[in-house]
Amino acid sequence: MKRIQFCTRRALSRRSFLRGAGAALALPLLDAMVPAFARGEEREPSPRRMIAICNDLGFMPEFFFPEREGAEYELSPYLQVIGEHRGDFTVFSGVSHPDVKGGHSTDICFLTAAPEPLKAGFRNSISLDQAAAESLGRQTRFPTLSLRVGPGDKSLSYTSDGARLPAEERPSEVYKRLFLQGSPQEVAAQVQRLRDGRSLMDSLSGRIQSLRRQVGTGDRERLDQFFNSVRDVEKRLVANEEWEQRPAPRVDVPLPEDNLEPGALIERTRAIYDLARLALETDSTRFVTIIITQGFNPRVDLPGVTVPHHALTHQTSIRESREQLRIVEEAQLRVFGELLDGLKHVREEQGTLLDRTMVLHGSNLGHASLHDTRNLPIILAGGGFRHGRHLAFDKDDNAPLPNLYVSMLQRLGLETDRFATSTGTIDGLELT
Amino acid sequence: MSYRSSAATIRLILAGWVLGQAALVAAGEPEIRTFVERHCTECHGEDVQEAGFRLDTLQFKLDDPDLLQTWVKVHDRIDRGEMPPKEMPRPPADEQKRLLKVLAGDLRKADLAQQRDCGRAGLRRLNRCEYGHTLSDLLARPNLDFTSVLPPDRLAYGYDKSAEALDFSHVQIASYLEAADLGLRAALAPCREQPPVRTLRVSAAESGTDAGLKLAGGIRMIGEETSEVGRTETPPPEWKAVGVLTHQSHSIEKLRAAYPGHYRLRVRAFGFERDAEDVGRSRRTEAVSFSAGGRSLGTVDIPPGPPSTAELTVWLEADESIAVAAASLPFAELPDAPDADEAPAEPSAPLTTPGVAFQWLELEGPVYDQWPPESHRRLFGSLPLESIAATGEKRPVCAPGIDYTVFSPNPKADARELLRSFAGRAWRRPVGDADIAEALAIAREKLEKDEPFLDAMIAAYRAVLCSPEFLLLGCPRATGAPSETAVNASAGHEFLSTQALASRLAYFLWCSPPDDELLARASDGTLAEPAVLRRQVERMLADPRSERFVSHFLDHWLGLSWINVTEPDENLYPEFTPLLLQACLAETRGYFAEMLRRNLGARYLVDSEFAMLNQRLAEHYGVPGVQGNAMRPVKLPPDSVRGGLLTQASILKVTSNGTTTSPVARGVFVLSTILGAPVPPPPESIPSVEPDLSGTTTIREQFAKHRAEESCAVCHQRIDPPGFVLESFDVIGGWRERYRSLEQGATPDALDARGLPVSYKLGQPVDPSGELPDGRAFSDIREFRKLLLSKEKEIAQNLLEQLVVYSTGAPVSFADREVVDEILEKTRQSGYGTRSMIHELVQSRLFRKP
Repeated sequence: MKRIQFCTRRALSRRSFLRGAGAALALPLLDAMVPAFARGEEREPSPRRMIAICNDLGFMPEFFFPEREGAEYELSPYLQVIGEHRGDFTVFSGVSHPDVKGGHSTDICFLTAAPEPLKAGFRNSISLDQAAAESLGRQTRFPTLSLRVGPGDKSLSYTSDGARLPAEERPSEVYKRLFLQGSPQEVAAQVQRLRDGRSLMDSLSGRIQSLRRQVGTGDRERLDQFFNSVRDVEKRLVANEEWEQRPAPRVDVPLPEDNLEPGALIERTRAIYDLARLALETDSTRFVTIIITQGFNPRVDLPGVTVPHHALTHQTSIRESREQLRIVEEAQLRVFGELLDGLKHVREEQGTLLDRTMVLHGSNLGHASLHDTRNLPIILAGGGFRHGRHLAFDKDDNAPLPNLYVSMLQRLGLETDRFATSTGTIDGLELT
Repeated sequence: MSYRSSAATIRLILAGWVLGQAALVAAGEPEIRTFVERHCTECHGEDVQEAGFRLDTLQFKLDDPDLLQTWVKVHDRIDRGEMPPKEMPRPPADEQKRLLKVLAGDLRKADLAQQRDCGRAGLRRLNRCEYGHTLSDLLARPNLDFTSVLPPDRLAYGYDKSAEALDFSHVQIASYLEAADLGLRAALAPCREQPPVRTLRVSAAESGTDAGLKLAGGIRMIGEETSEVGRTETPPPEWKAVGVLTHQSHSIEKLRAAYPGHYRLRVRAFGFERDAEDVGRSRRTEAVSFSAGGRSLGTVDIPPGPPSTAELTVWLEADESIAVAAASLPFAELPDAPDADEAPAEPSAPLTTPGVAFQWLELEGPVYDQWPPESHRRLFGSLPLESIAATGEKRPVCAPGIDYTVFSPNPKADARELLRSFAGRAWRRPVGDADIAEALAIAREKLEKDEPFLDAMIAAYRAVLCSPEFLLLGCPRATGAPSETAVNASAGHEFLSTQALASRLAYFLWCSPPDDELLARASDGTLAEPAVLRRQVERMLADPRSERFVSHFLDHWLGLSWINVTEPDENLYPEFTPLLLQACLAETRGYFAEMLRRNLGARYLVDSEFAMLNQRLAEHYGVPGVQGNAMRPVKLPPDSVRGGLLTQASILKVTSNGTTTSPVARGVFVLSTILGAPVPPPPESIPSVEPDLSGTTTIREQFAKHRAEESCAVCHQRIDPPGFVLESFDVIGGWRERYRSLEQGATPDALDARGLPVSYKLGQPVDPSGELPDGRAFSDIREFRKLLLSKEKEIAQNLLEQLVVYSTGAPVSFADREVVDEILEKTRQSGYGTRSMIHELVQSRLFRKP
């Protein structure tokens, strides 16, 4: 009996392919890379920067917070993971945003500290990165960069009108935006478009103003927001035109492949961290926000983890789940450690990139299992502070986290003494 | 603005203000204060403030929206008997009744005054979905996708339809610039001469040549002997085919579109079955799906029997190539088989496995019904396309790569005419010269600088598409004299103008702008007549564009837009395939569309004698006798566990994660999304219970602990029953009597996605039984569904309230409640028919107020 021949060949699974490609981003650091405009110009002290990271499922407090306070504190299990950087970060306890309640929905307030996000008529306020960029953002090609690890539409960045600024999830898109440049013809066409855009914005402002006179108060507010946005674009288009005519920075890193596998939390985080570092290193921007969102509950692809991430945070009373969650959270901190390491390995005029970059790492949840938004797990690394300490505040009567944001804004050189519900600067944090 | 109309506006504003004052003065405040003092201030007064709430000093200033909301809450808690609480003395019934009446009267008046002064819903911008459909319809250009250009919209009250959620930022505005360019460029004819229609073909018979059909992992089926079915010594020629055994998608590079346009896509294939010994013809219908650029193009049936040909008309962008998948096949990939050169080994799959054999595929096109295509004509009418070389004009900057320029003998006059017609469509109303003055100036400036006509016009169109009249719904005129029919959605107007009404209708039922017919009814003013309005709604619901309403509404109401966010665990749910996901969505959309079509009542949301099924879903549900991929109503057996929304796989999937189901998530879904009785969020510092996947404890054992706590029990006696009963369905909506587990339990006899024995076990049994808070018990979903029917009115009211938010952008306010009650009363006879409710809503003042 004769047979029909089958030749089935197993296709390379998408996941393994992407995994291989994702590694391409974790390249050695580029010492020779100089910010685009520094070449040949007077070298100023390297600028101050900031990265702000929010993990929306938090960290188990019992493994995160150290027991003792001050410089003599002992590293908690999680802090041991980044222990080699001990001298480069401060860990905070007993801090939170005043009157920010609402469980998972509070991620929108992580960088804004706008109170009562669940109240009817809530309107968000400006986020830390945008506040910094308002006076400092004009000096780079991108005033700010908002990134996300995970699907959906969350973002940490909000305008002063409370409008959300979208965050980019795909590394390849971020890369293209930062580093790819068109041909001379394309650049010329783009410059023309920007000029057209500006005159269009101008006529648009007039149109909105004339409409404004015809509508009621509620609608007027909306038109004002429209108007302000148009004016803002107008200003940005001017800046963009200048930038468009300068070469984009060159990096020796290839265009990253996007790995959007739900389980690849760590790989996706690493890819985004790498881009954040590259963006700062090339002085493409100075302010980066990163929301890491796991609320959609994927199972994290790590050995020993069988239960989805979000579910794990809600069954930490079960020992096995606690252990699985610990695997995930330690891996998250490990990749954060890699980011610090990467920043430390970039040499700049006065030291390392980390010395000039404040890295805020935390969560909007203090205790995910309880949906508790007090006692947030906050680490501040780098940026020229005297680190190596545990600054412990009252667990029952938390210190306002926006006070830390005021300290950070001041570190950037801004003369400000307020941010949202702040009451001053944060106690005990000293400059180097 | 003329003097006359500003005076009128001032009068109206004054009137509103006086009425607002009147509401305040006429307040039954003294009576309310007396009641409050007598029955409330003991716990909400100077000394004690339960829940941090103090009533004695709460101002009775109802023109303040926040205070109004607070007093509405006071009203509702007294009305529902929640306050004063049970342990406190009750106010005398007549006293309470009188209080509620007085309070309600004042609240209503204040709310209406506020609606009159500020509008009920207010101006809002288009959301991303509406923007895409609007531009697509305006330019007659299919497949405009702005998801990667425009930022995602926020939601308010669950929908992207409210002014509160649709804010503006510099990113938003900059994206509008980009999106307008993208759409306008796509509308241009891709080249000067109409491209010839070509037929591209790949065929198994041409194997080895350039035109050969190659599918990765495909089986060359040039066998010399076949199975029992049609066994012959010499094979019939049609057996020359490439067979596939998995639903993996194969990209076929040769079938590539050279130009954007419509193409005819044909496939000739047949289904087969193979086991360890033989290959024979399939006895079931298989589905073949096509995609391009990551979007689905459609699915065709391959019926059992001899090879058959199927055809689809699809839209392709330039340079897109076709991918094909035998979507109905169960396996995702198969274990390695030996190379063809080696002696054939025994196939590892022990059971009969289905396959699809492709003979050839064909792509014919592009097919245009006119040249230049309609999308181009929308911008440039019938102005001739000239080659750039012939005119000596500069190359247009806005569309690099095209080989022509648009020739206008009289550029300035043409510019005005073209702009007028384009702006009229874009702004959804007639426009005059004054309206387009600014856009025209932009074009003229470029023309004066000798820039190409094409560039000048595109720049002007961009201005039209970035203007508030295009982006805002219910927008008054920006310039020019107000005319009798002018759209004015703003202060002081009791009802929307017919133009604004047309837009609201169109964005409600079509997610896109009004068509010529609607605009005509708006212009002649007849749209405001109830009979005309009713006819228009009927016409619009019959139009295919109403599918956009169905999917966009359900995406938000039921959360279907999130269906793809979690991937079911491949070890636990190997039967989950892309085709099943597609079918799940199609079922729920098809079901709701069927409800609309037949005016089925609210009870159909929870119970039904039929389901919308196709073959894949019928297999999933275990309903026999459904062949083919098309969705159709199928009568369910009387004892079926299926029927209504709650047992649809899409709903069961969006209420679970990829691995486990949560009775809490599902219970809350039933209460808040279907019954309109939301549960408060868990108090802070209470851990929630999630299933334990190890298979050692059941979810009910864990819950028993939970419910023992009194603070939990208050809500969980409501949440748990619907949550428990839906435990009979797994994360992909399959029926289950035992939980699947990766650790403990019996080994089932089934194959996974690679044709190997499944790795999951059958763990603990499911216990779906329970008892409603009112004591009525149920043993399974069938009984539960019947009990839900007693909530028919609540279900109808919830659906109506969802439609109010979706269609107007504003939720039901205090003064709106009486309208909701009226609509429910009017539709009670029809069993709260969905179509009847839409008609009544559209005719009501809720829909017709600005």
